[in-house]
Amino acid sequence: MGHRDRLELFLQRAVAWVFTPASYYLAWFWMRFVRGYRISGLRAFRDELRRKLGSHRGPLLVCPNHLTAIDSVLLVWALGSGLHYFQNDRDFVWNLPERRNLGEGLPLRVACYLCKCIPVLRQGPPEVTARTMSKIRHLLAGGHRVMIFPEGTRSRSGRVDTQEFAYGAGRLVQEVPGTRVLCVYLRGLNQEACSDLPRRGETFHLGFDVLEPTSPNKGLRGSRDISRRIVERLASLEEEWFATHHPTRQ
Amino acid sequence: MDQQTALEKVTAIIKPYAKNLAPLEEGNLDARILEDLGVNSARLVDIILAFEDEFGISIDDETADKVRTINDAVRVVSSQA
Repeated sequence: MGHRDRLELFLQRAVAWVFTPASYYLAWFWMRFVRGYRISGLRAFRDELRRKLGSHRGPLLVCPNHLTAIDSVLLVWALGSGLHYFQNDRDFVWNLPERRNLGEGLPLRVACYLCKCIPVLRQGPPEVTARTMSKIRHLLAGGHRVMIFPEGTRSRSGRVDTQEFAYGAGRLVQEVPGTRVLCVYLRGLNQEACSDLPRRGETFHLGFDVLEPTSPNKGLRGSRDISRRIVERLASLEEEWFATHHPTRQ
Repeated sequence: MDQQTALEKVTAIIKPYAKNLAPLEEGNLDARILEDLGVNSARLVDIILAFEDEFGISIDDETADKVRTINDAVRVVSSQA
């Protein structure tokens, strides 16, 4: 990775860290009090996550299911407090939103910058994709957390898509030694299918697992194997979620 | 392997993944697999792996990243098969 990219990432990390209390608690206030969202069992989730990760301070790829446009914001809330992120800035996940979804509006671009987003161009020129992948590898290798939606897009059916998923997550796991994968299933009780925003007053329940997926294959085949394992684990977390919270809709 | 045989096999492999079949039917070798045929980028990986299985070759990541058109695909498989 070039010096310029390193410097850009360093600057973004520093600026985002300075603004962490403001960006985190503004988003939290909006979710908690304007939209009325609640995450059930949040403290137990964080405790259990800490226990499962143990002393692991290495690369962590956060791989959630994808149903709404604010899943990544909800997960930042779920994965830690503003104070925790201020004290442990590597734990504040880097997000990879599709560049076209950000539009041209300056406020959204600034918000994304402060919330550690690296815009990606899906199906873009290979050299652009290679540069983005290089930045992500650099972050992971430095012990940062990076969030990537393994399905690649919001699930139109409302269920984890075990057929049409992307292979980027598997590729990163292969390319950055020691990467663990945090599979997180997050869903509101009233979430039927995908949407821009969850319903007001929604209560979310979480399920998760920490994996260290490997494949006997290398290259593209290995990436596909690992991505499949991640998506299949998400699908099984989904089954567990429905069995627990919506047994009639399984 | 001759180019014509490679082209026929490559086309047959790509076809099920293409949302827009017109460039394939017109035999447009410069058609871009992602943009013109409407193949999803993740499915392009499946296509590359299908090439490996069909032609008994191994395509490294760097070469795979350079496969952008039907012509590129034919060139890669016919040079290695």
